[in-house]
Amino acid sequence: MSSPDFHPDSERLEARAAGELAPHEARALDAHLQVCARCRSEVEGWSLLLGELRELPDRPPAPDFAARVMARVDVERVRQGAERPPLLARLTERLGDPVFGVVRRLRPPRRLPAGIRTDGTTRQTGSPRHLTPTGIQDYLEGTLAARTRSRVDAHLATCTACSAEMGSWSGFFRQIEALPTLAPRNDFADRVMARVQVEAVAAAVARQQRSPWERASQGLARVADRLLPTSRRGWILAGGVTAAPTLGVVAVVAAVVLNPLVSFPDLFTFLRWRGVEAVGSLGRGVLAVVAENPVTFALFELFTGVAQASPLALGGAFALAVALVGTATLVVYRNLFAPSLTGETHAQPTS
Amino acid sequence: MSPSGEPVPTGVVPPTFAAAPDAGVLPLDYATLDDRDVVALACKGRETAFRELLSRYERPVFSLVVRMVRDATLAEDLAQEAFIKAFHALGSYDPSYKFSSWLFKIANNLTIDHLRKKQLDTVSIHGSSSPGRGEEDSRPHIAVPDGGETPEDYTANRELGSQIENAIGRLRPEYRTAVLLRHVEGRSYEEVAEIMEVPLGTVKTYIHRGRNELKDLLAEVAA
Repeated sequence: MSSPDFHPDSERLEARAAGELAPHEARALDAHLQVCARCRSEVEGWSLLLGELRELPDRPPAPDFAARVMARVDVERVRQGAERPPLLARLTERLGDPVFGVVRRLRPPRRLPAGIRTDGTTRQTGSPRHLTPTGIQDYLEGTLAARTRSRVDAHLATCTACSAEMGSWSGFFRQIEALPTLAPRNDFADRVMARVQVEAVAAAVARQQRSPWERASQGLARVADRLLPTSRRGWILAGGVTAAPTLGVVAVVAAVVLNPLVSFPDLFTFLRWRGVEAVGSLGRGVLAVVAENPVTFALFELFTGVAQASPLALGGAFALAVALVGTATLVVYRNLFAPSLTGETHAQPTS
Repeated sequence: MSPSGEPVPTGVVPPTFAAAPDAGVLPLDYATLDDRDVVALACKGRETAFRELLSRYERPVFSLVVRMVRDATLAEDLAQEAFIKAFHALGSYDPSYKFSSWLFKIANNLTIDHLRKKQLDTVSIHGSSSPGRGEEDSRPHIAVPDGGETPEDYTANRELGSQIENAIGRLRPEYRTAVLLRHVEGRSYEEVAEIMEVPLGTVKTYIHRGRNELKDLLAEVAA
């Protein structure tokens, strides 16, 4: 609602000005009004108009008001029914003026058709109200609600100015909709087709429609292809980098072969011992770092507590862990693997 | 064989299109197929399908573009680019959308890009010589037919010379696109929003303001 790109219809803005919206609807609309000058201006216009209508002075009825009322009351029938005509007549005569004023005050402001506004002379009582261009266009396009449309119809039946304006807009619509469809030159299609590689399109579509595994393997192949050197200098560099460990291995093998005191089993035993020793050192180092870390210690305490907790708490913790892992997996999947969740492929070619 | 003489092979229907219509060897009447089916056939490398799409949309696309750029020759180039770009990107077309909307979107984006580029090219670094008329100065102008133009070009440019066409040409590009799509192409508000890639409320605003401006411009001319 607060987006400046969304504009509530005139009926809603009028209802806001009249204070007829529910509190939550009014709050939502107010949020929009804070950022939209156009709607704010329309609401202000409605408020002005409705305020002026409310402030219209209480006009006393004509002097013959009571007489005209009584002329339409079947006094004889009322007298026969409830013996109240004298009271009614007295009340009408005595309270005619105050009742007239009170009724005017209590009556809610008259709802105007959507898009109706006052002209510049709103201070004058009974000033003409006319349809706005927006209201007329919506009417002609048939986008008004049935109720609003019937109110506009009623207004048009009595307002010659708006009828004329409506006719003008109607003519404008006919004029613009009668614009011809223009054609390019006759060889347009041939010129396009001369530049379209039909087989390439079919191949591209087929490529996009392969299975995920095929696409993945092709992707890996493309990555591997990119990693291969593309120049002589690149090959020399790559050869140098790979030659160093290769020559090292060759040297070790040669040393073993040439030295009668060293055999291959001894070499493997030595390498395994060194390997185990290196891995063990690394593991001990990591363990020392982890064990001394306060976060790790806190987690350890937490898990210890959980392990000692009741099965119910344990189950809850497990469910929470599953939910967290599941959510994380879903997020990773959506971001990395799920193709076009928002239909973006539809828009891509236009960029 | 199809009416156009093209053999109709039996092939595998591309998985993104549920019902490509050539499961058999019966003659294929492209004119009776809907856009999605024709696109499915085009994806299988059928040139006649491409030509069918061209025959369906060359006029609407050209009409939109020529009224945007106000130059028939340039409009043909841009419309060509739009078709070629769309055809080469058919693999990424999502059949859940209308093909025509997708095509119009491509054409509109190309045209708007061109107009923006042209505006950048023509505006001096010192600004407009007449500050109040800067926008108008950068607007595309009607190409005056010269002796080298074909009769078809001349016809299109002459059409653009009418009062209402001139008035449309003076609208902001956004208003122009919205009004043309709505009233000349008969697109719904939702389709216009999809083509222009703007929210529905914005489209309504564009169309209302565009029509108001257009009516005022026509009234100015009439006066």
